Amino acid sequence: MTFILKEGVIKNIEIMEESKEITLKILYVGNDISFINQLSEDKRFSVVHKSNGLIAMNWITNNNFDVFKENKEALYFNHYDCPEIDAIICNIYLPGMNAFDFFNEIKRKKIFDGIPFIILTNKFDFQLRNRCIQNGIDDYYNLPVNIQNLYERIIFLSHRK
Amino acid sequence: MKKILAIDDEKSIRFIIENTFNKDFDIVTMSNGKEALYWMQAGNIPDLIICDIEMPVMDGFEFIKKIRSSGFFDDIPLIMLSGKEESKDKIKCFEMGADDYIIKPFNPKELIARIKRRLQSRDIYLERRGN
Repeated sequence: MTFILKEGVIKNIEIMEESKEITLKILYVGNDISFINQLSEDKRFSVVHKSNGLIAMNWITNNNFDVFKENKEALYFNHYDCPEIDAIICNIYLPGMNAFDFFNEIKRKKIFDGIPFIILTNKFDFQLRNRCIQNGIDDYYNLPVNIQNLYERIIFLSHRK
Repeated sequence: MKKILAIDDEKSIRFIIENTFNKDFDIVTMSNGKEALYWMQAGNIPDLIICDIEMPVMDGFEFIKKIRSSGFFDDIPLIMLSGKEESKDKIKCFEMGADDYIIKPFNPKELIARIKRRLQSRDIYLERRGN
């Protein structure tokens, strides 16, 4: 088991040796502390946390995600520096750029193509849930999230794409 | 008209369901759980799902697990169809998240009655949640 701690990364564990479960690298955009704690306490997740969409977009730009696909090996000698992520989880309402704006922006720039994008909300809204699925968002969870369900869902969505 | 998704690998069952239910419901049929999940993920959320247990590619148990782990689909009423009468299979389905269990061969009128009751309950639930 390997733990790598670095700026912006709460935990980075490649493979859980005991269970052989895959570790999922999550970009979480939002400010729900209890959700961050939930993820960071579960060894199947490693989390990059950005508090809103604008900060996340800056982080994406600064990390050359747009050129990442073509130059993956050249850019990242060390695997643990590799910014590749398995899923994006984003709170619906964020200052500056809400989840839909953020989703559309990364889609427009073709960053993270095929990576599951999941929206979190504090209050269930039937219309909003329908809007999510109609817009191509991969899932919609009400907080607090069942972490086992989230893990299984990301695995399914990743294999689907 | 309420949309019902029926999943069964047996053509004869799909035929019975389509022809019995098409007056009352907008009915869509699929032959396995994976096909159904992909269809749902493409933006189609049914009001209720009827699902066989023993199917190729993705069986009913795996299907329950997959939809109940999703925030999109976790509250859709789910009725399981099975040729198995054993209590352990019924219990497993309910524990995994199924709402009802019907043994094949079934009386289509009984299935329709159960579907209508489930849909009424769901409407009341959604109305009270303010949706």
